[in-house]
Amino acid sequence: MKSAITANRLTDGAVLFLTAVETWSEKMADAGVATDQATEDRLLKAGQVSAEAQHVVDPYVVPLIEGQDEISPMDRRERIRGTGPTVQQEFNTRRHGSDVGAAAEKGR
Amino acid sequence: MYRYDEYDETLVQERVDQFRGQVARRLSGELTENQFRPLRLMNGLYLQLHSYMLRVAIPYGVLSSTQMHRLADIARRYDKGYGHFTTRQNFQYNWPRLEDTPDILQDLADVEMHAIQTSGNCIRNVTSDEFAGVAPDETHDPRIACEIIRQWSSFHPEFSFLPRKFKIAVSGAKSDRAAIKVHDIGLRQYQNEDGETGYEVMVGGGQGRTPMIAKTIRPFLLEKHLLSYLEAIMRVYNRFGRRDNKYKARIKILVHEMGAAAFSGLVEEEWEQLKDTSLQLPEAEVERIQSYFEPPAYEDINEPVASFENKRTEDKGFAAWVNTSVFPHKQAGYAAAIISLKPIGGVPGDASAEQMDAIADLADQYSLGELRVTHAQNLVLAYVKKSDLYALWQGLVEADLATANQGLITDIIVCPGLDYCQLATARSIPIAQEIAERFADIRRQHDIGNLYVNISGCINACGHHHVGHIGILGLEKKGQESYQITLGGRADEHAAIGERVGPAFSYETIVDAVETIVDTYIGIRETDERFIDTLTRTGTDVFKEALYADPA
Repeated sequence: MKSAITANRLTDGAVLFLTAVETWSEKMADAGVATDQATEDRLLKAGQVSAEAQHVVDPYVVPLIEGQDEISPMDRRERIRGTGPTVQQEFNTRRHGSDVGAAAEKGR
Repeated sequence: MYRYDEYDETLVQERVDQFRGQVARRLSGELTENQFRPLRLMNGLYLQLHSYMLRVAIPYGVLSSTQMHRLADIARRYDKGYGHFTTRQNFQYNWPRLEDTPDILQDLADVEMHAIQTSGNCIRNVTSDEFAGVAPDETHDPRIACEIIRQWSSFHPEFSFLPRKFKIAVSGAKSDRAAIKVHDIGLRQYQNEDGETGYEVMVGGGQGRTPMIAKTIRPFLLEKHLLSYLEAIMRVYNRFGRRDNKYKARIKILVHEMGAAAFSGLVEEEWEQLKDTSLQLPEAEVERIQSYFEPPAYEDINEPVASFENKRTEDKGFAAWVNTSVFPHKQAGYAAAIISLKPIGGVPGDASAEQMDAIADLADQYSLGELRVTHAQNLVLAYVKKSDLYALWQGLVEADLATANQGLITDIIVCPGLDYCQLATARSIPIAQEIAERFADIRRQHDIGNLYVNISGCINACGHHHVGHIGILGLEKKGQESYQITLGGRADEHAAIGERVGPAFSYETIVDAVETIVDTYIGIRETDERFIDTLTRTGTDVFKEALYADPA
């Protein structure tokens, strides 16, 4: 198995991935990858705790494609959710004139 | 245009204040997501695939240049500098922050706009003919009924928790440009043989997973009974509509399962109790509302308008735009101009803040500061003097808004699909873009002629695929996007649900399949025969054969 935890940030809805050290990142590449059930359970639990603390909304498990180094969800829906619309790429890197890094910081 | 009265203003402001408090409590953690979700949805705020999405109501698709400027301003300040016009004549922001939404709603309220009843199981924005008030084939201006329905349905306490969402459309012309037969209630306003004004009442149309054409349950309803009759329909639906299964909860299922005659009987029974109550429309109030939609002070202009005709001969680009984008007008010397939001390779229905500002300025200069949104995701300037059309066109060219494709194969209706939507099963925007690029040659488009391609990214059919001449439905099959084709759908006065032609096509082959259909049509059409008429004449078999012939 191979999976990661995702959610939306409460304040602005941004798609987030839970890192291995249980912080949130806007980059799918930063996701903490679970390769066993115990890790997935631990990460999901951390996501749920974050949701209860009202940092994020609806955390859930995203199954990832196995047998490759990079993090890529099995479902197309999750791939698009993780990387942004496949059209209008120009809108995927900036948000309201502020840079993504600053927005990511805010959610932690 | 209709202007808010003190009640409208107070109600909208109260709602903004209330939502500001709700957002604050959500952000502080006082409200959980489960508690907050129904509250945000009552204010048009969804959580979509990538972000929140805010849907703003544009009552029957009519807005002022001031409102358009405000939509642009909000897009710049709170979103990513663009927005999307929807098939329900509304407007959507794809990237608003939750924490900004109270301010956004306040900015909207300041120009008489809001997001109330743009989501949830209530009566949604009433939609109508984008040429209301100016179409030569119009007998009654549908905006008056729309406004009456808007006032009646806004915050109607009895209809705030219906079994499912509810959509009403009104037309007052011979041609149906509001797709009234695929709405929960469709109203066709006309004058009967006795010279009385009233409505044909159609109920139970809709798209989604169970598409249906509405059934006429009353051929003629006197105008004064409009609200009592609507209220009777809503009551019967509210009582008998299914609440146990979301997919069977729309009124179309009730009408279908019960039968139109039985449903109509219950409505008539209920109506008996209601028709002579205070719901009867007072003439003075109808007149008051009517006064907001009086025709403007038109200038006396003789046709033909020489400057317009000359420019048309001189400038081929202008002539091409006129051919597709100018709609005839009741008033001599005037025209309605369609602004295409379907540039080749663009996202259908999208406009940047700069474009919205440019459109609003052009509306001020040439069309009395008023705009309409069409259900086909384009915009209309309804009061343009023919002598101004050339200058308008030049302004549109400058703003990259002069695509001359209205009613042609690249004028595609498309939902946001899997690129934005939480519910979608496949992408729809890139398919529309690829079809547009494949048929980009304007001469080819004109040769093909009138042809509506509608694309939905899931069974919910927001892209109106059931009523496209060529309908495309995106699904997921074994992890792959796949696209079903339907043929022969139409949304006009001859409304029909398209027929599925066979097995689905892949993402890679769907555009070829569309081209095969088009080429087949070109090969068998008779002189001046539109695609839909050829299809009606020949049936779908010839197209099926072309699509599924053994490639070997």
